[in-house]
Amino acid sequence: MSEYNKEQLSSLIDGEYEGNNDKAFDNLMDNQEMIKTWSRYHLIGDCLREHLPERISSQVFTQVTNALINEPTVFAPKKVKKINLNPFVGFAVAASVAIVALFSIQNSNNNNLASNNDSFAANTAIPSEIQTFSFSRTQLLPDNSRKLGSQEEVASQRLNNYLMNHNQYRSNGNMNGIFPYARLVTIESQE
Amino acid sequence: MANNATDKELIERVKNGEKSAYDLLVLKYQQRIVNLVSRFVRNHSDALDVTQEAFIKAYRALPNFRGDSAFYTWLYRIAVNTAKNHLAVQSRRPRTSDYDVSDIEQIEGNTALKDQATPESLLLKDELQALILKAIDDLPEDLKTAIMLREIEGLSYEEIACVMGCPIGTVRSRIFRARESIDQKMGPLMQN
Repeated sequence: MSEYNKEQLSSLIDGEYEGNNDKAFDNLMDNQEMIKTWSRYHLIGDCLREHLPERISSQVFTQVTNALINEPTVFAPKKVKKINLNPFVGFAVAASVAIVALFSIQNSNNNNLASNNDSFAANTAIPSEIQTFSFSRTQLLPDNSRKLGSQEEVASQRLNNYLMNHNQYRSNGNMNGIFPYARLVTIESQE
Repeated sequence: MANNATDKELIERVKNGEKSAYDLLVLKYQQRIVNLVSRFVRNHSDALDVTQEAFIKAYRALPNFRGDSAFYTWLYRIAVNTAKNHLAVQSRRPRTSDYDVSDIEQIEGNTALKDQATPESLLLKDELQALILKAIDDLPEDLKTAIMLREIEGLSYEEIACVMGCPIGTVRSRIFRARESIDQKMGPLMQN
């Protein structure tokens, strides 16, 4: 072993090696003479710092080495890299997720409703004997309001009629929000 | 301390499956751990067994070592706990020197009952210490100062360079030459 290699080993022991540490450790572990030197240099340090036991033996090293032969090789799990986000980026990400979640929930609700209506319409035919009724436009609109009757009022009245005619099928269509057996009647004040 | 970086590199290698990197850590710390354990466990042979157990426990637990503390601090805690457990087990064991014939096998297998360290395999601390101190006294003043500042004061090469008023490269060379000179004087004793 050259003096140069030993000087490298000396600085490696002190954590002061300036070259490629990986390469230096590879060289060290492949060379039994360098391993012995590593051990003796550490022994010198231990002696100067008064870390030595009363009796010095290399028995521990021999026994540990023999015991480790039968030990399974340890492999540490790879570290998961942490994403370092500043608070603003974190807030933006959270807001984006919330918006996406909101739209997706709304969309899925609409789809459910549409599919429910479609299946209900497809599977349920209105029996011909069921009587439906509707108010005529003249019945719906009192005289004094006919002149003032707006399109909105007419639309609202038509919706009421529709609901009354189809009320009994509501429970079959799994549509919530309307009592299945209650007849809904709208009242309009008439003078 | 700068050589924590060395420990970290070795630990990473062990975690990547290089068992031989752990050998270097054992060689580095074995005397310190034996010294530590000997404060708890008086019997030398038991102290060696406890030290060995501590190193094996540390090896098994190494995947969980996150590096928040220095490796030696972590190893120190394992060694102290192992020594305390050993003492607890010893205190529960009945103290008797009368063994049945049926116990012979157990006695043979029990390392605690026989002193494995034969006089030939042991080196006395006082003997080694005297030799190393003599070797240091014989060193030129600049080498002696450099090695003492490094090993006893724990200064970095840069700090030693400031103290001694010389380039870092010179510090590196002086510390190496000091170690090499001491090592050569230790040689015959280590071979024996």
